[in-house]
Amino acid sequence: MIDQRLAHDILSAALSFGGDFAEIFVENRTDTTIGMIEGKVERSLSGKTGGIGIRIFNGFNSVYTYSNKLDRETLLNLAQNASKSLKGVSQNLRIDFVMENPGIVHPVKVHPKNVEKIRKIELMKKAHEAASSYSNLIHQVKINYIDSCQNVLIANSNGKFVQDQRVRTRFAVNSIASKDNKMEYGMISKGSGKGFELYDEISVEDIAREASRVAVTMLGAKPAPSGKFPVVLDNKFGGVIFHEACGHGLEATSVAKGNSVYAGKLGEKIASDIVSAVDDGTILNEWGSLSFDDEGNKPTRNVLIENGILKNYMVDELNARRMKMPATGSCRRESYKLPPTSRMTNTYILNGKSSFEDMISSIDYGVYAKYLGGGSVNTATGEFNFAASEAYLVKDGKIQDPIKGATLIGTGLEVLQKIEMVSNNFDSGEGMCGSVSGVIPAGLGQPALKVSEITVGGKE
Amino acid sequence: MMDKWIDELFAIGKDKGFENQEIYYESSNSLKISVFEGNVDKFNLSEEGGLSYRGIVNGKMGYAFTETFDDEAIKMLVDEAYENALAIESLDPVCLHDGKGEYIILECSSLDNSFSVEDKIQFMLDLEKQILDKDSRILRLSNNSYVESRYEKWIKNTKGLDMKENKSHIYAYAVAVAKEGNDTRTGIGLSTGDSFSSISYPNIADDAVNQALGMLGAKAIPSVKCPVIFENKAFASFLSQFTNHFSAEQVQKKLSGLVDKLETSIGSKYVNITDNPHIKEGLNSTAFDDEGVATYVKPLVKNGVLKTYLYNLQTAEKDKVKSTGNAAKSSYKGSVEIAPINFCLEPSEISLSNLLKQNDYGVFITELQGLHAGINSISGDFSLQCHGYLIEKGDLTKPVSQITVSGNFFELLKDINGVANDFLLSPLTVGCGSPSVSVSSLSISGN
Repeated sequence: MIDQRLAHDILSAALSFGGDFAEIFVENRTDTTIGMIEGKVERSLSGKTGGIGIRIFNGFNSVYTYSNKLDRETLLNLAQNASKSLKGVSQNLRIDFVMENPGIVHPVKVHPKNVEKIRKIELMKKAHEAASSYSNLIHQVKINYIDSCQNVLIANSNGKFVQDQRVRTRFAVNSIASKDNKMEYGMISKGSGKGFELYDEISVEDIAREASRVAVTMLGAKPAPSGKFPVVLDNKFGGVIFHEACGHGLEATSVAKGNSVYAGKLGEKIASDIVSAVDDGTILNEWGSLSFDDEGNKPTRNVLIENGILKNYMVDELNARRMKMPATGSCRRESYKLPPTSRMTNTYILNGKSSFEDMISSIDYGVYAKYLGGGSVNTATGEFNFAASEAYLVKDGKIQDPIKGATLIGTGLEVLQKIEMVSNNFDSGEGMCGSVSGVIPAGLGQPALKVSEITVGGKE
Repeated sequence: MMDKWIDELFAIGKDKGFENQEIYYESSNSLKISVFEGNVDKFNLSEEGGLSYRGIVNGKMGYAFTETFDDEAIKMLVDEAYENALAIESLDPVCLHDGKGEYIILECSSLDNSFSVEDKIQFMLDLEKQILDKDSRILRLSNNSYVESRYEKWIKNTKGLDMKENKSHIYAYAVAVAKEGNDTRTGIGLSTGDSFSSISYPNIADDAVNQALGMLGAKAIPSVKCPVIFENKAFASFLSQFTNHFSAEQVQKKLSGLVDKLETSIGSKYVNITDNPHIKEGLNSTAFDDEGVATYVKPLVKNGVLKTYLYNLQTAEKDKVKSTGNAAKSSYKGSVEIAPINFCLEPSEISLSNLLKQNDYGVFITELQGLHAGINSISGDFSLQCHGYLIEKGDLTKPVSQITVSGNFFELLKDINGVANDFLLSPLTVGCGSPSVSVSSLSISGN
């Protein structure tokens, strides 16, 4: 990508007029996206992107600049101009790079670039067939295949010099069912930090049939009830509750400046006793795992909450200065175009002791949410929301009719205390998370859990 | 330099077997400044460019993209696009525009160079100070930026099209955090203008502070079905989630809720929607769409009656009509799809306060959250977290939060019983403009 000598010269230029720390992030990336509708490939896109981002710290403050021209002159100018905006004094820099080579931490067996497009399309056809033959109510099937490979190099004025390769694969099926002029959809996807070998381990037909099952189920759904009820959130994508209600609020991005309801609460009890949660970027080939984060630090298994007590935040190097806490190896960015900051990697609530059946049977009147969609949060106020994409009414301890249009809302500090039961069926899911440093793959997961009361935004 | 590179690209593409070819090039540079507690907190400078290449071979369109412009990139683009074209199975027609049509020239605000970076930094520092000084309950800014950017779009093809357009934008915003007891609230203020001197920080400060203070003490209300009035910016961002139903592509694939609805009533008489590509304050405003077709102002809905769908060249060819100049790419990495340029719900002459006066009891929504999550884009059902104020006897009485508003978009269009005169199109409203809108009944969930 670039050699140590050029890296050294850029970093020196970046500190030539001020600043106390400089970092470069070099990236090259390939993407492949194939879209199919009505069983025919309609869209096939690919290309290469890449460039370099230069970041300079001056105390608590930072300067960021980037370019997609990689010639020496452009880069030295860019670095120098960024440094000038700091109006400080030159640092006489001598950097002795230490090359960190971790070996391959997340091995990819079959690199997607070595797989012919026709094999990717074959998978999509199989999925199309399975989804559309599931029921004669299926009216349209959309399938997306995505793979990407991001190569990064990170070097900084403390002598860090590391490289990483991140391969991501994703397969998504969106089935649309229709009846009597009404349409509903079911969308199921699987993402992974593995290569094409993922498809030896999963069945795209299963994904497709599940998407169609959700679409057909939702066609028969009634409007959700309105008001506060007990709710059971199932495993896998149920983890979006923790991601929104708490995860974002534990990122140093908001904590360092006091813009989080969780700021200043380390060591305090913020959740019920049965809640333990981690952010873990080390899990082998997982969706949000890394060999190095985007500051060149090794990811960690970061215990955020243990038995309801707040143990740690997710911290990046810049906010670490303000917070006087060590960085946690979870600093991320979408691309070289954005400065990185503390983000989630794979964020999980850990297994508890209840059974799924006991949770359901404990509810007289409430909601069971099997699949959840996305959500959002205002970390300063703690108010969050997320949507259920497949949900059911629970009456007298039994799962009843499907319901639609159920968005669940609450405030983080309140809802964490109201987690009343945690089951033992942990599983993970994969999402795309958008925040200040862009859109990144973020893993989430939990066992099914019961919240004693949460506002359900229905119509009845 | 780019001209020569593009000629070379087209020559190599022709040798590869492409009958016709096109490039779509975007470049921009921008400056972004954020402050925190009297210091420049973030200072970001960027300069970037990217190119989408597409070409027709055997009746199929192949795409590829790049951010570098050397010989290696040419080979990559041509090879990838060729391979991508071969993968296409859809039998839809493929077309490139020949450049015919009447193009208007949009007045382009040029960034004024008489102000230095220091002036802009000082502006943000003053803005922060003014917000903090307004009220002792204002704790800090959780987010703020001054942003200026220049942008160039260039489309050129082998059928004779060669169109360039330059644009620039300036805006500044701040999010204020207010706290009273254990209650924390935020408010946002934004100002946009043609030049640095036209941006006004008193407006930003007033909006951010008033919104944050106004929401202090907000509580949920009991669940109820009642009239709902959406403030202009809330309704504009809501509308932006449903514009896909107007796309001819969605209609042709029977994924739109507006299939077979041309010349029929889809909303109340207050629903007048125009796609206006030339509106001065629109960030998206442009003289030509992303296929190079000239844009024009067109009514989509008139007195509740649907007048047209939005077309690009391909969907227009399928329906045997003309493109409406609505080809859109999400970026140079994407393919050509369809989108409105500035999707505007037209205002009336009634003031917002008179609109509110018509309601004995209801909810005035100033902000909606989780739009990407709480909307079913296929069925039109929505259930969204929101906050605002209670309307009692025509007046705004108490702040309300921790509630949701639920309904169905297509039913809502029919239930609109008034629009105000406060039309707003801003960088916060995602390519849509709207006045405040009154809806006769929606479900509110709360306690």
